[in-house]
Amino acid sequence: MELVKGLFKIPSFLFGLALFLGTLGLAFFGPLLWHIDVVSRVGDPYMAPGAGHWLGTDHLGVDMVSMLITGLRASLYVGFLAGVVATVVGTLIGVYGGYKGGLLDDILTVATNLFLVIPTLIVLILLSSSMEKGRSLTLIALIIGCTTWTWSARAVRAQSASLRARDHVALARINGYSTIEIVLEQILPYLLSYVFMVFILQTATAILTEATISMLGLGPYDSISLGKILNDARTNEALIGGKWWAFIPAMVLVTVIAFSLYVINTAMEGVFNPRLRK
Amino acid sequence: MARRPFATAIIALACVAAPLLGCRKHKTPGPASSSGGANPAITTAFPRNETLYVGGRQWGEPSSFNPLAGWQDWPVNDMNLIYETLLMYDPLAGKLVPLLGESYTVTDDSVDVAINAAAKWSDGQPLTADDVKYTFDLGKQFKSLLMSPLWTGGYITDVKLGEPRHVVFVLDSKKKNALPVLDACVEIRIVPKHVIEPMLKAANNNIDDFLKQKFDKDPIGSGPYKLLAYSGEKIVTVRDDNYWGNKVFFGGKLPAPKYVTHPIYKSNENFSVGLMQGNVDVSSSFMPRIQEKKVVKAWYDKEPYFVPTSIPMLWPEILHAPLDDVHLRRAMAFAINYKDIRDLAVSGYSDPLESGLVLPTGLEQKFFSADDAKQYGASRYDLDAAKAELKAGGYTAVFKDGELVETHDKAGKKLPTLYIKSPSGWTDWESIVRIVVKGMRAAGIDVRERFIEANVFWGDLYSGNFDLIMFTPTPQPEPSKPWSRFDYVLNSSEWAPQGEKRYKNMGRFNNPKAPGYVARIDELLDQIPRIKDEAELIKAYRELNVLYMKNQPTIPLVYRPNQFYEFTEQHWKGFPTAANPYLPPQMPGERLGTRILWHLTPVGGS
Repeated sequence: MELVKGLFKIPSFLFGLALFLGTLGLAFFGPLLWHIDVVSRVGDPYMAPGAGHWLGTDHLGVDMVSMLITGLRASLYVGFLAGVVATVVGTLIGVYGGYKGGLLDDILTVATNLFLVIPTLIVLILLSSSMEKGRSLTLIALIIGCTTWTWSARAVRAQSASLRARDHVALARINGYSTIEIVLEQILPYLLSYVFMVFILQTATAILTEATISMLGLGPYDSISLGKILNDARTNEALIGGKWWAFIPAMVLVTVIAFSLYVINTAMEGVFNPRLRK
Repeated sequence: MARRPFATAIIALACVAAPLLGCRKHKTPGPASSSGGANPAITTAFPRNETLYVGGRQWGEPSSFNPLAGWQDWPVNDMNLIYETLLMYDPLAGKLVPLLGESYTVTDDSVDVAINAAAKWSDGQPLTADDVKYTFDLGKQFKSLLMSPLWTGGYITDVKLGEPRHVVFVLDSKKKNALPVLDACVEIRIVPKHVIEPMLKAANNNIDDFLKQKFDKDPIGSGPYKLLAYSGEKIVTVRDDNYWGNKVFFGGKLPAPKYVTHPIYKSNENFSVGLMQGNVDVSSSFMPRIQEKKVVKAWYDKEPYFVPTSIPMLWPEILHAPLDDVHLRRAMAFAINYKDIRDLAVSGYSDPLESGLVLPTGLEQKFFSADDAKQYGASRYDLDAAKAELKAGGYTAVFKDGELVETHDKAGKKLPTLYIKSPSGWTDWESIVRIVVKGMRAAGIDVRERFIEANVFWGDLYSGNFDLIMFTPTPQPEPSKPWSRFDYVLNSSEWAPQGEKRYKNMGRFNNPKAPGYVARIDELLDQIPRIKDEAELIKAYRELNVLYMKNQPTIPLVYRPNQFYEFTEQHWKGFPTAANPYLPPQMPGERLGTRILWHLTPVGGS
């Protein structure tokens, strides 16, 4: 608790948190404050910002604020889902392998390293372009999660291995606790702050990855995400025409989410990592 | 320990830098260059005032300049730069213009083309009627070639040498349809017999082996330009100062640009930027909102900016229930917001859509009847009419919170979601499909968009593997319009079941063996080419168009030019426009637009 309290004294953490809560607030409360309509045409294509439509319209004449709020929700959804998948899979494999050691650990490490050298983006592109039935937002989140868990596994494994030799773990073992019990009750709690930081980073990465593949035109077919807004702006030549409202706000949003998460992560590391603690 | 990564980094850097530094010393690309061709020439500088940059016809590394290949790269496909057609078609005047063919006569039994005596190949050999006969006879022998539909479609029975320098296409005695022959005269490029025949022989008359020949090293053609060099970045052609047509058509004048070059870009926006920056002089790529780009001009200086020649449309696969139901197809047509398509997807580059398969403007206008369209047509946005059609077909839609959940048929069974296929990355079509889906779902029809890779798209299109698919039938400006458009959409004489490839009527409408076959459609398609009297012709087209509207086998969406035509006068001037329509809006080098090359002048003198 002391540590958590300490966190709230760090200005950079508060700054990051405020930024992030701001975007969350926009995503959740935006629809209450703004009439969201991403279907109807409300004006000409790429109508400039003005009263009624604060950020103008997109290439199909749809209100840009509605698009951004909807896209933000989709991007956060992808981020959290992929972050959860990557963190859970990575943590379980990492903690288990790190604690167990031996042959099992070797096999898991080899598998992790194998996955690590597979270029994620290429796998994503191949997978997304081969999905004949169409790519849903959830599917894209799962693909991202399933390809980025590796480095959480590696990081967690190292931590877990260092905990293995602790006295309380040895005690639990003598008392006849099963491996799963030890991993879940004796090791994982010590790693929670670390896992949480991993989760934050994974979320930020997933949001950026989704934006990247959507920007390349391989985004979800069934929803609007920030990356898709950027892709639409690119393919419909908003950049050439100087229609800044078609891409700058989406870019800013992606940047702000990722940036705030990174700031939070860095601040937390300063508190939770004893070597960095002031 | 701290030093090691540093040392490694230096070594790594050195490894990376070495080839880079090495490269700088050798200016000419090494043997590793994959493009082949006459590469050294491409590194020489091309003076801007002697080089015309064209765009929009080449999107990837060239693979074949073979004039007989099914798909050729610029400057062969649709172009008269290296190889030439017998005639050219002026889509503004509706007239055929001589090229290799000096004149032509159409009778009930034949089309007779006189070959220009001055025509010769770039190696000095004369271009004769024998070359022409040889070219068309190839289509009889090999069924995969571009000219073979003349034979396989049963339009001609023979190509004969008539009087000296005359070629006679003998028409099928029952069909007596000269239109496909005239189309072939403006589409098929004549190849040199003295070059092709030995090559075919060397390939043991195996056409597939022959078609692997790229024709990328000094190919022999009859046109005003020669292939100079190509790479993954551009294709360069150079003027042939000995071109036979200079004297025949232009009093000895040479085309203005010494080089015509096509830079290879991957997407529309690259060509748009090229045009705006003056790196591309004229392009046929799609450019949204042209009115905002001050330096870029089009045919008209206001909407619709371009001359429509074609109708992109949705093709339902008629064999897929429930798409066999005309009520559903008509409901779909009524559910689409055509104005949104025009304003949003194609930047206003279209006249308002009318029902039917006849263009309501230009040469086809005389066949269009506004009364028929009003009475029978469904190509207008009318949600009430869409719902009435759905009700008539017994369909009910289930909505939840204003969103369509599913559609039920008259038996109360849930209909499967119908998917509209369109190539991914074709931005104007993607926008069209989005608007279509929006409208149909609002009307209560469960459809979704499905954007697929372009190579998958063509396979699916011809084999009928789709619910609905986007496609433009015969967009080329040809003497056979609008008959060929009707024929392409409605012809069921070679009807084939789904799975078998079909290059017309891909929706497999009007199966002659199925109940409900409309024999009158095939009758009219057969009769129209023989009708001479204009009043009778108009009557026949109107009847056919009404049958089309009543059956709605496809769903027209918007009007579009065959090729867009955008140019900038930063480096060259003299492009034809609506105000100065001395030639049609075609790319310099393409079809009749080839002649633009003789009318251009470099800006600021040469």
